[in-house]
Amino acid sequence: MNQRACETYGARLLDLVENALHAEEAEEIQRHLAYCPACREEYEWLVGAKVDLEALGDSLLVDVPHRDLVPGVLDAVRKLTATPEQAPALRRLWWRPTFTVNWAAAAAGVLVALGVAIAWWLLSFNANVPERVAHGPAEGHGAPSRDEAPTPLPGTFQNPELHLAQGTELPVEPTAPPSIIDETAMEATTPPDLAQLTIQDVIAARRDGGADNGPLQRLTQWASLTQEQARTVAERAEASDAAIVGACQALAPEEAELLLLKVVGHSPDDPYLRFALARKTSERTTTATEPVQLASLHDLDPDNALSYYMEARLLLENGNLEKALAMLAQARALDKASAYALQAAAYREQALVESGMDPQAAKLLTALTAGAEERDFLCGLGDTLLEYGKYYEETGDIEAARTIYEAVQELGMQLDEGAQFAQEELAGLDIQRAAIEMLRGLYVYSGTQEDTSELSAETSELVASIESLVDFFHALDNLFQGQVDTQFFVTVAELIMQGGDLGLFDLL
Amino acid sequence: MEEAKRPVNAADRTDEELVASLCRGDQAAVAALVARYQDDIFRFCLHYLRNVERAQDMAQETFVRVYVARARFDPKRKFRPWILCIARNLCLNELKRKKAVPMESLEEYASTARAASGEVLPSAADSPDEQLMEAERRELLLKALDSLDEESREIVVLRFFERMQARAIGEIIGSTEGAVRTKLHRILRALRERYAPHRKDL
Repeated sequence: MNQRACETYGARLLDLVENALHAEEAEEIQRHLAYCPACREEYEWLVGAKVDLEALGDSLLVDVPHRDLVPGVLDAVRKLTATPEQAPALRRLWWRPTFTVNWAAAAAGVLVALGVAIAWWLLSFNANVPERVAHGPAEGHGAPSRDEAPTPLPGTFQNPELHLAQGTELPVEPTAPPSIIDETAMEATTPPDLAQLTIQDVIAARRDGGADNGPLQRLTQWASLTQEQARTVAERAEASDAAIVGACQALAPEEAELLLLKVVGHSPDDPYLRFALARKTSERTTTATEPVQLASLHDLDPDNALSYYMEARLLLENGNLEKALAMLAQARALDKASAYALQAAAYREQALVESGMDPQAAKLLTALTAGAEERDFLCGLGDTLLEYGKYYEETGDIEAARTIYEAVQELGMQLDEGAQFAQEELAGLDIQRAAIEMLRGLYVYSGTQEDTSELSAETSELVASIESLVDFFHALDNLFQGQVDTQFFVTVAELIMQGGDLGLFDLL
Repeated sequence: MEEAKRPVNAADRTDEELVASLCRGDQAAVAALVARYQDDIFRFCLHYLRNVERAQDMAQETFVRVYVARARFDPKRKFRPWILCIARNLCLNELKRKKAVPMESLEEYASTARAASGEVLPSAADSPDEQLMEAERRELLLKALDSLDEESREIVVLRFFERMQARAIGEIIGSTEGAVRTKLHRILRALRERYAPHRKDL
């Protein structure tokens, strides 16, 4: 008996019983069986067990009467379509969760009002929304495909319009439906001559930005190279690796991937580069190399939970729920998550400088817009994961839905924990808000009083965090009102680029 | 007569075409899908729940869920694994919800099923001795199955009772074909330890 051969063939014996092997392989195993009594015995056992088990299954169904389910199902479907508001308990599963539960009513009012306020503020920063639609689960497991129009979820700030329109039951109607991006205004803006831009221009735009969206949109636009500009920066013979990486942020995935791979060769241990690669890969339809980059990222930055969530999304996309849930459990065991906004900003600053922008203007511009792009990405990731949770909820897998929702809520908390920029914290808080809404909807159907009470406490904490973030945004606005000293803003920019904007007021 | 005509038309259409009609709000497609799958789904639920009434409720709810989640059906996929996946989820929820009530073991279910059918030993065997041996063998196998954990029992039910291939099982339980094969191998090894020695004696 050859122990090794027995192990190899042993695993295929059932396939042999089931005729699931190619002829050559089957013959090879048959030859082994001819001289190996142990494997032959196992094979014979499997043949008998298969017969016995199938016979057992059949015998359990003997005389089970035929049931006509058509009338019952049609009746239920008619009720659903006729009176959605008074539908039976099951219907609640696919209600959009709302803040109408009594205990939450007071907190919800504040949250919604603040949410609306922040959303308004955010409208100014949405000029740079990535092209990839955030909602876009799966071609693998029956969940919606990438191209499919998503079923509305509460929506994070990835899509403020969705949030405003559907996220919660608004206590008051917003005064005017805010347009996310003023397309006509954007089109009308002449592409800036980056070389002419001064730090004073940046300060002025930010100063006016508190009251008017236009100038803030302009800041975002200035801070983002066009594809053309990015290509020019990256193709220069003397371009630094940092500038190339920064330029990649503005390039199409295929183009950026090639450049990033080259730079990774020079700095294989830089986790941001792996992250940037994984993101660019994920923007393409085929994502064969994304897992490779994510695996490297796990190794290079094992304490950062984000790569695990990204991998969980991939696994869900491929229909591997089991592994996805295991991956989410791994992600949840970590303390924080970060999308490397600080590193991304530093690289972008270098790209702006090498594109010919005044270094001081580039630094302040980058500092003031850092984290906004990461916020979009993070909210998109949260939305996608929630979309999968919703899919499993609707198809009856409450446990999977709950695990996914809770993991997304945890992602929000981890981002909050790891945030260096207000924009990242905002993503964290908004992801938590969206996850809590989904969980609330789930608990209405399947939760306990304890679950609901816990959610109530978490909502209160969230409201407190949002309040302090709103204070921060006001303070940032005030910083730019009345200050005229350029050197002051140079210092502000340096401080932000050293450790993010959240610690700014402790330092000043 | 229109009622009689509808299934004939629907019979020519694939599952996926029927779901596409469902998405456009065609309730006749619901009836067609139910008529086509009700026996399969009811039997599937029965394997999980081992109770005819509960299986009927869950089978009905499965079709309602198909209607509700119809917009999320990926037309690139096959309908059958999807609906089985929904039925399985609902059955597992139902089992969890009823966990307070001691769960009927396969063995108990088998005797209930036999008593209900009035058949003492449903068997194709000829002689009374053979019948007795087969009955004993089945009792032993039921005992061995009951001693497995829930996940293993589920895989056995899907593979041997529902006669599904590893790949289809993977699609339903959210795992891969390879992982299912590995598990199946492990389960059958465990089953052999518990069942084979007694089987030999018979």
